[in-house]
Amino acid sequence: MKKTYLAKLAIVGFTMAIAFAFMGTGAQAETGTISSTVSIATPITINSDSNLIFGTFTAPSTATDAWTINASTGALTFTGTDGVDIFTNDHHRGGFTINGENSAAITYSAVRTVDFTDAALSLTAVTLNPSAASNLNSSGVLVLTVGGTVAIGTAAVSGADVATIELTANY
Amino acid sequence: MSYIRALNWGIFIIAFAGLLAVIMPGIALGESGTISASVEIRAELVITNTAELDFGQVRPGETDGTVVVTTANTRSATGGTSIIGPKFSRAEYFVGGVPDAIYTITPGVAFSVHDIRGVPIPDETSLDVINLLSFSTTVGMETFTGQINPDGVDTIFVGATLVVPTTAKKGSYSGSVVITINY
Repeated sequence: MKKTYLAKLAIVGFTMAIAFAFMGTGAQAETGTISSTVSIATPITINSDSNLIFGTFTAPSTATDAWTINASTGALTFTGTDGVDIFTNDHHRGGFTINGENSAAITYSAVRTVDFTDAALSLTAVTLNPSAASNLNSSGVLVLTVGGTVAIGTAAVSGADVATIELTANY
Repeated sequence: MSYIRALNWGIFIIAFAGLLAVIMPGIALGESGTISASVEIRAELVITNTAELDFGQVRPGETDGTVVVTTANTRSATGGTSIIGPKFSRAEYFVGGVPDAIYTITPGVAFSVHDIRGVPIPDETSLDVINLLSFSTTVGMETFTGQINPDGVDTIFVGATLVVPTTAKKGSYSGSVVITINY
């Protein structure tokens, strides 16, 4: 048995030796090549350029007012009752700049993550311009402007208040 | 032969997969950023009358005339009307609001003052007050636009013209008009 066993090992070893011999020299093997490439995309970065500023208003007396800043034009419009825009020129669109791979297609969205502290105030809409998915330009840049709507209830108290908007972008 | 060929491909495939495993986790696909949204709520304007418009003592003449009290607190008479004594006053209002805010002043077009002695109709007479003008202390000129100063206040002076016909009857006359201010 021992002799047989040793003999089998010898045969296996010889076979493996042959296999490795052929691998090492490739003298009798078929070969082919393929190329392999990989592109490392430039990471996306987002700059917060400017905050969204609705302005200074009086609270309505009978029903909720809504003040809207247009993300495209920056114009302020009003729907409601008797609230007043006191200074008329202190509103401003928000803005982000997205940086990444030149000419890459990206998707993005913006949401309110923290609402105003006063329960009589609410950031009820956030809008972007461009509003849909877009491409970074040939330098890898896309500038977005931000608009939105604030609802002001009759119980709104005097003072300044702040909400938070988050923009997320992906390839 | 086929075994060796397959073995070569197997080793190559394993090596390539290993290379992918090294690269893929390092690619950043998304990012986020935040901005704030702000709004400020301020109280409505407040207006308080601190002095009434007083034309003082007036005497009608043989022709129609007028008495003018200016926002600068001067008094003069025209036509056949004459003024008597030193007592008269422009109207004065205290305004409170948002510092530096601009507001409009609407003093009313005209109103009538009536004999307050309770003279029975149809003997009741009235005199017309016209040409109401306003002066904002912050703005510094006669205007229908005022401005709240940095301390949150403004003072408005109002003058007007009293029409005195020759038929005006002796008596004490009184009336009121609404002064409206708005942001």
